[in-house]
Amino acid sequence: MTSVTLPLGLAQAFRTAAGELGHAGAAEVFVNEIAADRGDDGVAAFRDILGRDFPVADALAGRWLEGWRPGIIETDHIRRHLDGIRRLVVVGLESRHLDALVDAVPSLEIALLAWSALPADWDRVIANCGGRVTAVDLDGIFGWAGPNSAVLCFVYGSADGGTVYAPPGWLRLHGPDMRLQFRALIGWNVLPAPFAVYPRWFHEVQVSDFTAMEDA
Amino acid sequence: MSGSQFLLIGILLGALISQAIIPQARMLIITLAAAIAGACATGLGLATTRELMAEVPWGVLVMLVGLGLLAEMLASSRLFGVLAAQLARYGEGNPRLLMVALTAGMFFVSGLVNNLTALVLVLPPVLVLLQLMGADRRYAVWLLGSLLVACNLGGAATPIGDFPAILLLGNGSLDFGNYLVHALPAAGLGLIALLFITNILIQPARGMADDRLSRRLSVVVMDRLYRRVRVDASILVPAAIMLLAMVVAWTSIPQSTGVTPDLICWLGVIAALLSRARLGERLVRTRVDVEATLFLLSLFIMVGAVRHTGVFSDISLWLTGLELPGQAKLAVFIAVAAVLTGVFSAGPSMAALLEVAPALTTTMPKTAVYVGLALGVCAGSSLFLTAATSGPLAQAMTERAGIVTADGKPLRFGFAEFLPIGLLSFTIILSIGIAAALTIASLAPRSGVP
Repeated sequence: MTSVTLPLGLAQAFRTAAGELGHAGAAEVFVNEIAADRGDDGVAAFRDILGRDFPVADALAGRWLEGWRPGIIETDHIRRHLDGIRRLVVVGLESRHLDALVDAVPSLEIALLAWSALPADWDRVIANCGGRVTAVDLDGIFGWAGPNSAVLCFVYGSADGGTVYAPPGWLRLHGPDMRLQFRALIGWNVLPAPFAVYPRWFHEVQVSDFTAMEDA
Repeated sequence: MSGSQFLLIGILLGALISQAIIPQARMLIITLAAAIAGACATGLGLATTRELMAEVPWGVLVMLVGLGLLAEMLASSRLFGVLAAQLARYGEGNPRLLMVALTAGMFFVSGLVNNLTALVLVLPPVLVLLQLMGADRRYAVWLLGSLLVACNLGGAATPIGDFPAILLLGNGSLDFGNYLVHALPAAGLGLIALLFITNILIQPARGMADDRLSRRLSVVVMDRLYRRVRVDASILVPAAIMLLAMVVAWTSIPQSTGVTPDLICWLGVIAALLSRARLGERLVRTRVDVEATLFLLSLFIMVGAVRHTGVFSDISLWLTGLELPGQAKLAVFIAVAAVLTGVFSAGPSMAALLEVAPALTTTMPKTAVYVGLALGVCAGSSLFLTAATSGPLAQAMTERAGIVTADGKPLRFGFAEFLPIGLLSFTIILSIGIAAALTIASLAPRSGVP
């Protein structure tokens, strides 16, 4: 426990941000601002207050305290898997990564599964993509299937044990017939680090469910 | 009161009270009551349903639908979301600055589009801000209440801002320029008075923890939420040009030419929608406010049936026969309009009072009467949370947002929470409304205002 106090209502603010920026994206913003204002003690207090409810934020803050800092999002390794792909369905939401992908592959048609455990204004999420991304619901995803289509899912956690954590949308989507309908199922690991607490909001899935897995 | 008057007023009041008690059956109650009013008027030999339908001010409904569609088009350009995010940014997370910036922003938006649309456009980013700020209960309630009142004031400030003003423009009671020139300063003064009293005397932000980190977080997160949201100029520009063209036509073409405000609105809105044909077609098919249109249509039929009983003529006679100077009668009329609106909401009050207002215009300038009426209705709309449809909508949106205040409890924004703000706003707006009307009346001989 630390003696640094943080503003009341931090959990609500984080929840609001995570709904549209993603758990890791929101955690980066909060940790960055807290560190600037209250230093590492503030980041530790952030973990104490929010870590149990938001394990991705907890893990990211832990990495921050170990000296890690968020950098530019590299997309080259993801682009390699998108060779020959014209249409991409994105599952989960991490705004910085999605923005980088949209900028990096201008020829790609992108659909975003507008479904998450946290509330989000999906119109605003889509409006941030400059007309490049279409919102799609679970029923509409298979309209995007085809030999030149792929699915990309944001995942979290160390893959050492052969598993990672995926958003609930992936479980609703993933089934035995999925590999037949999409050329590639790509996992983009936004936070390849072990969790100190069980990552609620996400579900443990096999790395082998994906045709490719790349760390951020 | 005659039997027919008693019966038809009973149907009107019964419907209004029932729809307030059972809002989930609102449309069924109102449309059923209109049908019963039509049947009773026919049965009593007062007027046939055909006559009642012919007397409906269709131009007002055309303007309501048309301006609603134009508002949807403006909303599709994302103008208002970007505007709200900018206001939040300039407010720098400072609760006092935010209240002033957002309230002024709401006044501006509400002057351009109807109150419900303004609320739907502006409130969501504000609710996000409240979530991010960790605001305390008192501040959150006063901010939301002030926004609601600013919405009503903005609606009364321009002839296209909300239903009562549209009604005045649509039925030819007052022309566009005349209304704007006299109502806008009064409504603006009401907003300034509200902001001054709220911020200086009540100080909703007093006692709220002023944490630099909290302010910084709310600004940075809002920035990120709107990081790449841009106004769509291909939608905004034609919509704005057509709105401007409509305003020019409303102010420059005399109604005596037969080119009425509703016709200008009809042509202008369709031209704007045609400029983005796919979007326009979708808006026309899916975004017409059928509920508001049906509600008002039913109301007009019920009020029309009541009119045929002669009750409005009786009230007009009573009003003109009052042993009071003309200016005192005008003040009484505005005060009655405010109280009636507070109890029965703007639609019914306005529809009924417009039947009485002409009696006053025989002795007072009509600009003073109608601008006073609009401001009185605005005061009444701000009295209770239930007095205007925007109130329950704000309540529902706030509850849906699930905001937790700094004390860790869910934010409630209901009738009781709004009441202090409502009473203050009612007093301010009614006082300014009466003062404005009396000033217009006293200056009329020199200014030549009709």
